[in-house]
Amino acid sequence: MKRRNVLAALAILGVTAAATTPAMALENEFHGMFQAQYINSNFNGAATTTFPANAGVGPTYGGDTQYVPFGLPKHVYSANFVEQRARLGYTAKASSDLKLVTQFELDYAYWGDSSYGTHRNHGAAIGADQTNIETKSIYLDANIFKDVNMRLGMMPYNDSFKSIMFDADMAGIAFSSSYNKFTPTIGFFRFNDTGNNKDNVLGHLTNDLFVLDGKYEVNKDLKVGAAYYFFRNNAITTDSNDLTNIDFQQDVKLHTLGLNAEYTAGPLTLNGFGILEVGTVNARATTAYALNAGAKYKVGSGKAHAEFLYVSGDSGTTGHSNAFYAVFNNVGTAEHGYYDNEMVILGRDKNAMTTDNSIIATAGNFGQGQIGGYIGYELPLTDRLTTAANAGFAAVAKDNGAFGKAHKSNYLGTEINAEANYKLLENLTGGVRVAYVFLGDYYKGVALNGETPVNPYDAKIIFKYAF
Amino acid sequence: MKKVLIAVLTAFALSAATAAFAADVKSSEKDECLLASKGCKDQVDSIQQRIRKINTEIKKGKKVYSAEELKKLQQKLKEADEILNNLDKPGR
Repeated sequence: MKRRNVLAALAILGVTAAATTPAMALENEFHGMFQAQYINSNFNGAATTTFPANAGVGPTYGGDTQYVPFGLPKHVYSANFVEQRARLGYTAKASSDLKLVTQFELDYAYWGDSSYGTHRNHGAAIGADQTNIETKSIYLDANIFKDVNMRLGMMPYNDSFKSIMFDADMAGIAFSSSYNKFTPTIGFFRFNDTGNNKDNVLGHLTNDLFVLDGKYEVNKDLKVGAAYYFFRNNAITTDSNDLTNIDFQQDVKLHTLGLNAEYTAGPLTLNGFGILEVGTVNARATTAYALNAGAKYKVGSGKAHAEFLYVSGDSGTTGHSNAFYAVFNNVGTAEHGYYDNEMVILGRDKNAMTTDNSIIATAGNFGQGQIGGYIGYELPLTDRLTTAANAGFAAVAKDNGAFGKAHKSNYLGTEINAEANYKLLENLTGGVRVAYVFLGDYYKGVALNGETPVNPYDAKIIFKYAF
Repeated sequence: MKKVLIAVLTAFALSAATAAFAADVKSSEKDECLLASKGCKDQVDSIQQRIRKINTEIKKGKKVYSAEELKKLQQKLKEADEILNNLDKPGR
């Protein structure tokens, strides 16, 4: 073989290898989870919650929301049921700079719910064969320039304030960057466009969010952040403070400014935030605010934590308002949640799936606001067994006669809960969590015939597999 | 030159053949992939394994990785945590 032929042959081999390398870099990632839990409760799946009316959102059981013992017998039958969830995610990575992220969900509200039909969260009756797959997120994640990341499509996105304002899948575009210790984000999200229902013009009867967010690492122990959110809702939706009127024209123009910080000193971590809302919510001039402080402290092999949250409320229904706005105030579409308090009944439960009830289901809490103090301790006993216990104390900030009339007290109740989780296999955990609430005088005499409802409890046995 | 080319091509052919053999289970060994889902040639990491692997690499620090590479690993860890959090996210 002549020298040039040799070079040609090597060149071909080289070209082939070069062409192969980028193709081989395509990475297919599959991830998912499965969770099934047995629930015994006089709260979840029982008459004292919005089951089955679902706060006016739907006539069938598709996720209830709120503790409403008002006018019901003081004792209700306890529920016994099993609910189930699977999530599947596929990510197609063309390179470390470009990927498509997807996630899907298949829920059974409770074993035996229905079969053969078309209904989200159903399909667990005999025979199955239900059309019930939900698309949660489909978005492009691309580093389009050096240090500039773009996310485009239906993506999970949450606020920088422990998710008390929004935490949901939402369609939009967000750019984020990283300049040394500064991380700015700018984004736009369209929650809803109802033009098609009204006058067949898209883009004006909309519900949108504009985001400006910045985080700065002052040093390795101190991080600070600030965010500006502009909520503009001109849509015909259900996100009103008025739960009973879900089909009227919204009018929300709200400027929101928040500051957050996190400081670490040895075993102690302190964090917190402050939020100020100024603008108009449903034709009411609104000035509302929220304050939070949190602490975590390593004690022995465990970790203690404490949380405090104040959200302003309003006692009136007209004139200037201090009622806090979040996405959204309707409990049926509460796309936010404060989970750092580790509550099961008093606040939203971290293990809740389709059945998702709380005493405080939204940050605004029907315009009443909230004041809560929470403490807890996590203790890993072995490599496989972890335990935790929590207590919470909560009240409404202002009594506005929600659910019918003025209440005897602002105090909602005291919760105690405990959990133990055991790692059965590498990715499979079996757990137990129980919770009990001593109801406050807010609920005094609100049951049928002026009686006081019995205290709610909830017990779960949970199996969770993630991969 | 001809000898060099033959040597290069032979080496290439042999390496390819070796790789092909490596994929098969020898007649005297158990097929652990069939038996216990271990050592399968198309095996991929679970999200927990991925997080563990990234953490292990980050711990190697500047002795092994450059500052830029460590930043990339941190970013990958953030992405993996995000995936796990989204899978685990509570609510309706």
